Amino acid sequence: MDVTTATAGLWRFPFNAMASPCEVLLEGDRTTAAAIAAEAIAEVRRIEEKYSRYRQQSVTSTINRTAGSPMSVDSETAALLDYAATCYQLSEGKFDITTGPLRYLWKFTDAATLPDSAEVTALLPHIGWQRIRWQNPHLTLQPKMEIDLGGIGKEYAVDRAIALIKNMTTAAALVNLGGDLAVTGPRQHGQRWQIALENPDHHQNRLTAEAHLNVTISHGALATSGDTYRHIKSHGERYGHILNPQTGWPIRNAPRSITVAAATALEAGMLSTMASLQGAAAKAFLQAQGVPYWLVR
Amino acid sequence: MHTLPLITITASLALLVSGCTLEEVKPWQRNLLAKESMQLIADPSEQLLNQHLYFSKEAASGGEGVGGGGCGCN
Amino acid sequence: MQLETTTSHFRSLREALTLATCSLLASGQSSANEWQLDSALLYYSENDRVSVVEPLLMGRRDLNNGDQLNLSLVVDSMTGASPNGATTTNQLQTFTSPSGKSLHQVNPGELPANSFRDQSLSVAGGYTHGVAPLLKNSIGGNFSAESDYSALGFTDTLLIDLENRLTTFTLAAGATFAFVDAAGATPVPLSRVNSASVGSAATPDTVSEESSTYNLFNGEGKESFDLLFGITQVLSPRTLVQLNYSYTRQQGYLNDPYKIISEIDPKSGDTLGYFYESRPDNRNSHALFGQWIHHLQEDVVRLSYRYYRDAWGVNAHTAEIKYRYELGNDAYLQPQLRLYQQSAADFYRHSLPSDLSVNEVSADLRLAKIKSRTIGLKFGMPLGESLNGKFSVRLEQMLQTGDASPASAIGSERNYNLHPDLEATIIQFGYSLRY
Repeated sequence: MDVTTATAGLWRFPFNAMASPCEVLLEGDRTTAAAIAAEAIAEVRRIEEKYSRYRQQSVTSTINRTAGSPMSVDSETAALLDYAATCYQLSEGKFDITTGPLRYLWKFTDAATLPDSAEVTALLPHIGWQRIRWQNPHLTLQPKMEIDLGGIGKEYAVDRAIALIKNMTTAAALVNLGGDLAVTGPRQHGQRWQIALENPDHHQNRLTAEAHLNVTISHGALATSGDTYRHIKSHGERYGHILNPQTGWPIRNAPRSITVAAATALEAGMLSTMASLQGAAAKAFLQAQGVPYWLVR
Repeated sequence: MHTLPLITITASLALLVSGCTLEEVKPWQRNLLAKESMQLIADPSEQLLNQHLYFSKEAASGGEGVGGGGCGCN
Repeated sequence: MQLETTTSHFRSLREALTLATCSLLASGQSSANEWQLDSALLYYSENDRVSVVEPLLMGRRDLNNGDQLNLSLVVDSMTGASPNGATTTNQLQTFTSPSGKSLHQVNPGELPANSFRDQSLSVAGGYTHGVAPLLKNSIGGNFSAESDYSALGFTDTLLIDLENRLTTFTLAAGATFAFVDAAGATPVPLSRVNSASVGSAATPDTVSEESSTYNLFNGEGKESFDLLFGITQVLSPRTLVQLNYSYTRQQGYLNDPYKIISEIDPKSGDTLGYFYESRPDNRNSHALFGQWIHHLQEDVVRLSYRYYRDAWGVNAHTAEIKYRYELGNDAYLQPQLRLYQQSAADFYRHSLPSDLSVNEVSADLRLAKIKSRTIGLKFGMPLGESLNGKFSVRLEQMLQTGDASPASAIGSERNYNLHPDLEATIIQFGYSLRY
């Protein structure tokens, strides 16, 4: 395992997972820290293997292949589906894990163009959580439907890794999966964690924007929702990668980046995602939640 | 032999299910109900040991489940 | 970038979201393929009668497919003396131990009791399977053995959820086949007891032991069949109620082979001799059980009540209250109270006057009119840093009282307490962990 000393008494274990650069930071002696980090990383990889839609053997792929017929799922998947169902209801249908098929039309790469709107409309009958029959542990997707737990999985992995570390040690730790991160508590001597958030403006204007925004936390989690690198520009308008499940089109006027602080990565991630789904009203939504947030338009 | 008025029991059970206007409890409101302290049997080992104990001291038994197994003491 | 905090027309979703997140992360902890192990040690001691040490081990495993496996093992080790049914008299009484190996004497004015020492073992297993989205089936088997008793039981339980999962119906059936093989020989009901005598002095021998040879599935048979219908209802996010009705049919040799009854002189009340007890060869019983569980701000209150009646004329009420007071950090203190009362079986008599002819009779104090209360305190806390361990201890005191001077007492019987109080201390240590 690749390991570096981040600062005195703090060990950094970088790794790649979920298509992002990740790291576990741990205090304490190096041997113990390495053993604990290995367990945490293994947990992240377990969740990635289990739920990645890019892996043929994953639960997600199996569920999607079985669309059209009833199936039963294990208790962990059931808990994730329950959570997704709750978020669907809380967001009044805006957060939806069934928007997957739209990805075949919306390719957010540099050269991408807008899809044909008739094609988008044709896909809509295969999208919508309300079309899924979910009675824990029995799940039935209609034919051609897909689910994607990507909107939850990374934050879930952060929280699971943190819980695992807390079970093994009282030493302070931070788990960062591609910018969604959580800490077990304050560092030794009550020090806060220094977090550098990437500023999306920096990519556009390297001269005027600061590369990082420094945030300090002692408890809880930070998660970011944004489309900094993933958008299509057409006729002067930006089309972000956050899709509205009701229309099949990107949410209009979504902020480019929203970072939320909350007790767990799941909550922080869901609040930032739900805020993005509000489009122009993102800020008002975040204000109503009463959480600290950082928003970039 | 005495028999309990079964009809009354069945009727009161039916009332319990349908009659009252129950608060609709959503899945995400069930976190308290999921706690160990809110389970029908909060402590399975205490329940099993108590069943053994009171079965050997008292004439009445049953009501909570089936198939106690009994013991030679009664 | 800007850091902002004020308010607007959106409603706050935080509370609902926090709850959902907690239940997702909590469910992760109880993830599949883990054993939940419960161990306990019960120590039960009567003031001057029986003491019991009872270790228990239970395991539960949630399988990947949502099924559940349950196993339990209980070992019982009993020593002491339990009342044998003979009445208290002004004479010296001599009893031979059930195995016939030893004698012991009971002084005038003392309650006769059989001393015994026995071990028992019971194992049970169950498997719960999700048959359909709203239907679970649970099958179970259990086996128990003592030196003079063996039993084999089977159960099947159906749990049916309504669509909203707030209502669950339970349908259960069970059958138990048991064999009573008393030390020496299983006595014929109402036959005269040859191994006991009154008024004569024999050499006392305090060491008495039951046979330790296990003779499984031998002896007199008895069967028991149970049916249960229940309903569980979620009333609110904090309240749960349960109501069960159960019916039990027992048939076969329902006697306690060690229980006898004194034959007394109808005028003086002096003991003339002894008979083995004779109970009916069947027993139908009904139980209605209700439970209400409510979560207060932090604490949990639990009330239960059971009404029981059977064809032997026993009517019983059992009420229990437990208040779990949360101390913080998952530790709790729980005062608990159990109240019980039963009426006597129709054929219960503390003794049998020689001018009375009966077909069914028992002097077993457990079939007498009884009141009992158990008061106790339980304490629990998490234990162990990286293990999900939980430790608990309960301390209870049980007091069972009966009719010490029944109106039916005759002559010299009136001088004695015919139903002494039974006072017992119960201590249970428990430790459970996920593994």
